[in-house]
Amino acid sequence: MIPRIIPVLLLKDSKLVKTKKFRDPTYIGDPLNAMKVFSDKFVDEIIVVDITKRKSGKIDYSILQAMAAECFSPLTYGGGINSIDQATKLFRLGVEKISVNSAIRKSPDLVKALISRFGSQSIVGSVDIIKVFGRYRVYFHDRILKYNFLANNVIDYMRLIESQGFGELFVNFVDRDGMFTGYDTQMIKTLTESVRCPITVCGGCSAYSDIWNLANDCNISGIAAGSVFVFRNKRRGVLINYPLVDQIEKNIGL
Amino acid sequence: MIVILDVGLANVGSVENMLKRIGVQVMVSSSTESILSATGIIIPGVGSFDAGMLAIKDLDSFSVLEKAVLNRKVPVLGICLGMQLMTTSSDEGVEAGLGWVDAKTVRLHPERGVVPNMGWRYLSYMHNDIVSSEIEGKDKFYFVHSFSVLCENHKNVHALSEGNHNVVASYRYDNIMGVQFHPEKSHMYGFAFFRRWLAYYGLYTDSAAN
Repeated sequence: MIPRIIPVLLLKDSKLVKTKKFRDPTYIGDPLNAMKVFSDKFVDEIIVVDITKRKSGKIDYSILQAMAAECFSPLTYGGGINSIDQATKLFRLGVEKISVNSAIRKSPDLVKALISRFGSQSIVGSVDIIKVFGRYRVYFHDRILKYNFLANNVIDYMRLIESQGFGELFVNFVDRDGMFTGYDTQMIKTLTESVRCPITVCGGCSAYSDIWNLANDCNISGIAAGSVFVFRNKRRGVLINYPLVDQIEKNIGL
Repeated sequence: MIVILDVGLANVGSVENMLKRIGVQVMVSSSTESILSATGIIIPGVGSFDAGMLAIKDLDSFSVLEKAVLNRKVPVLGICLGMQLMTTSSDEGVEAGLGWVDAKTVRLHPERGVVPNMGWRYLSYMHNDIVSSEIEGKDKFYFVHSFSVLCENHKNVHALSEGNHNVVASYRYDNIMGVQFHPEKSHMYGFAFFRRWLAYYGLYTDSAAN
């Protein structure tokens, strides 16, 4: 099965940005314009994550509404979701899946309620992992502490949250974000062999060839990337791009 | 007027966006007046079976909706959960389905492949008609589901999707059609699908698009 190839768009204060290691958001452009371009390129799917630092509970519906209206591919939204009402509103405006991260830790009851109301296929569990001193840790953002480690055993954590009933897990490799280092193929293989539900991975992609290699090496459901779809190359000149269907089918063996 | 049935928990926005883009007049509603004036009804789907059934049965317009579909034969399209709601039952819940089609909804087998079944799949058409693509094997649709439909009458199966999970991608019985995939999320293939579905029931001509 050909994996879904997924651009990840980061929003900050209603603008499109791109980070490095989840930090230093650089302004890229207008999110609506980017969405239109991706839509014209018939993307498999799009993930939008709002990284604006704000009191939780605020969602930028107006920009999302405008983006959803231009998006004719599956759209996942993550960022600041902490109630059923917000989820209802997001689905109504045309979001296909919502992704939760800190809610997994802070409000497991909400996660349970979201899954039972909207179905597991609509709720994505997002996990950020980071490699420090050769070890993988689950990482979460904290407004006060900059870093915080949630779990030392990534596999155990992934299995734990899988058991909560998510339809998909979205794994970000934080230390590879925006670094053009290539995907962490070894770890991705381990992850896909450890959990049963579909996994989408992101972090490190330096060129389309990394996507082809990962697709051919692992049984992965989704391959996501940020920089490679918004920058021309490592020098970070902005260019919204996405491979053609023929190009994907030629490079990924069935 | 095509009515996108609003039961409060579906992704009505995506369907609305796509139909508007092909120049079709749509209304997101569940009111009795809108259903009485509907020339076509779309039941989109996000959510679990029981939540969907309870929400639909709770509508003030529920009996009007049933009459529109079963007596007045207004073309109806169920998408994903919407397709499943029109069957008699589902492994996902305990509520009875709408039972508009002689079919039931069953759980996908995890031993056959990853569940949910998620991603883009090609279709094999069982019927050669205007709703089927002329370019079979070329157009693909986005699927994401953990349950799928089994038709009691194989003649109602309109298309199959083959892969790790072999599923009924679409069924059609009279004015009732259900699709397991999400045409509203299948970009160019989705636009083409909606045009064909509407055209089959005489609800779309090229001049409608501008």
